[in-house]
Amino acid sequence: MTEEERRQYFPGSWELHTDDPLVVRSIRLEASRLRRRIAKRPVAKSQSRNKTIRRSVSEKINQRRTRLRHAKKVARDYLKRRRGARVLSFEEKDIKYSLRPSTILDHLVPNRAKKFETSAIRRKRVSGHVAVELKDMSFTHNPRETMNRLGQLAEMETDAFRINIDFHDTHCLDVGPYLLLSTIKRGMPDLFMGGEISSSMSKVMSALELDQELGIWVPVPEDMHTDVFPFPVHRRRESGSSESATRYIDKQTHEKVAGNLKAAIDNWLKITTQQQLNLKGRRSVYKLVTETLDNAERHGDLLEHQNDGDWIVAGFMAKRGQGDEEYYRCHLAFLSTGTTISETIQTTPEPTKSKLKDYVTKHLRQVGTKAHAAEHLSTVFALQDGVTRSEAAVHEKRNGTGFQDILEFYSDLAAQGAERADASLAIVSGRTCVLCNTPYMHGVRQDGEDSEREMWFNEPNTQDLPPDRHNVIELDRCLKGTLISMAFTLDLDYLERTVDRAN
Amino acid sequence: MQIDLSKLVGQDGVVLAGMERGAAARTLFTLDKLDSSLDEVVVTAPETLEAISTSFVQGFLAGSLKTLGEAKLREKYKFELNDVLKEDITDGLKRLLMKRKIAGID
Repeated sequence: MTEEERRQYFPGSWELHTDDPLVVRSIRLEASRLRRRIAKRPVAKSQSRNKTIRRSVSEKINQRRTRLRHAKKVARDYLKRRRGARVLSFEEKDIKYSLRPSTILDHLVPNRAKKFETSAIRRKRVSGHVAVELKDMSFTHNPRETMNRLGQLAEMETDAFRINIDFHDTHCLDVGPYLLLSTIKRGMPDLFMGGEISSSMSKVMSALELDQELGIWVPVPEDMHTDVFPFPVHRRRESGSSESATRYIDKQTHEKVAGNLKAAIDNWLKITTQQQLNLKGRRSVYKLVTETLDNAERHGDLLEHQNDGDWIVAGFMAKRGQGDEEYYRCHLAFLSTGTTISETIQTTPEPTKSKLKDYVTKHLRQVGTKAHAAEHLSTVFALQDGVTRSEAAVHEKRNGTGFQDILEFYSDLAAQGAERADASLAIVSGRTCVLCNTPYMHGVRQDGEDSEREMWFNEPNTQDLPPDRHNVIELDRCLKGTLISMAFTLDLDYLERTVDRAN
Repeated sequence: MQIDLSKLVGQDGVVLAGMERGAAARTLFTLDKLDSSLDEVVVTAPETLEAISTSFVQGFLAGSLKTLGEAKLREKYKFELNDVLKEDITDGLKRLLMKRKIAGID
């Protein structure tokens, strides 16, 4: 990326509020620690050797009192200095450095609440903007580093006065990281101040309305709609906020979103190829979206709001290359917060529970680290057909087919994993990232038409062997929820098969 | 007896989806009661409807399949739907009839 391509966005400023109760509290805490430290400091050895032998008891008490008075004075001075100090005095924008409730941040940043207690001290030490570089941001191709970069950014919440984010990818490689970033941002004070961004990234941010989600302003090029075709951010209401007694009878938001995505794709195709999705293509899109979002609502927030989880979805198609080498890259991502897949599947009843335990025990030492191997294996097991957490579903022999349905629709849209499609779908949940790419695009029935679709991520597709390490990846940070993010090059042959000519 | 799915999706709905939605529709249309009656039940949908997800079919018909079995269910419930929606119903029933060895149920 050339320097010309990079643009500054959102130059702003703000004032520090030292009246903020949390800031004051952390300063007091530090003052109190300082006082105790001075009070406990031992008397110097030379003094004690020469004087304490002859010292009376009253002298000892006096010395102790003097020490305590001195400690109190030092602490009081510190308190005055810190509270009275207007460390920064900017204009225009006020920031409240308060701890906002956020399940995602609580798990992404270990000991977040504790760190926040003393955050004012660390903020004081950091002067100016802290720059965070977001590079190679893609869960579908670079999950571990991507999660680490977002984790580092989240940690800045307790360290920085203000953050500059430099979007260093020339093109948006995956929309998933930015959905997660927008959710992280909702749990943080308004720290994002500015940074650098390429014109291509700028287009995507603006077209998907992610700039609004992130609370930033990006410059929008005039040719925005010639090569980026957006499906802007759609968000369900917060988990646990459903009040309607007939909420499953009423029209569902996920059905509406599926209709919107189909309309967006039709629009993309009309502009680019003068075609529209035919019935088969439309049905794949409807089912992919509704099955994914239905799964998110049912399992997303299992611990607090069962069957009422939230989600956020966005996607886009971008024209890449030129002339004969022109191609269309599609991106779509779904994020739900609250419960991980492995946590969900732990609640499965018998006999599935025993089957899960057998699988986990068999491969425990062969996937990831010892601390998280069970989580990875549980996630893989949960993807298999027929595996469900619901006791009623087990009793009625239903459910547990959602993931494989999603993967089947994805695979269909992505030319069944043909090399030219460069397709990859990442399922990120907890500390696990499962990559579904060639040759593991979707599950396969191995025992006739009425058997389950199995997907064990090894060549013979058997649960007797561990999954491939390239497809089941351990993350260094925990995503308390599930992100499904996919990227693929639209298959023109598939389009030929599935489109209706616009005429 | 007729079940009109437009009560769920309206006259312009294009997709019907969701496991819990299927179960709620089952209650709305009193399928448990209908299963034990002798009447034939006709299921219709608005012309705009283009897809019914397998999750909906599973929530909607799991109870009937358990009570009646596949043959009697197909005898009792007449799905007056277009071919693709009939295919969706069949796919949903296939999911319900699927072997579940991995989960240890079959």
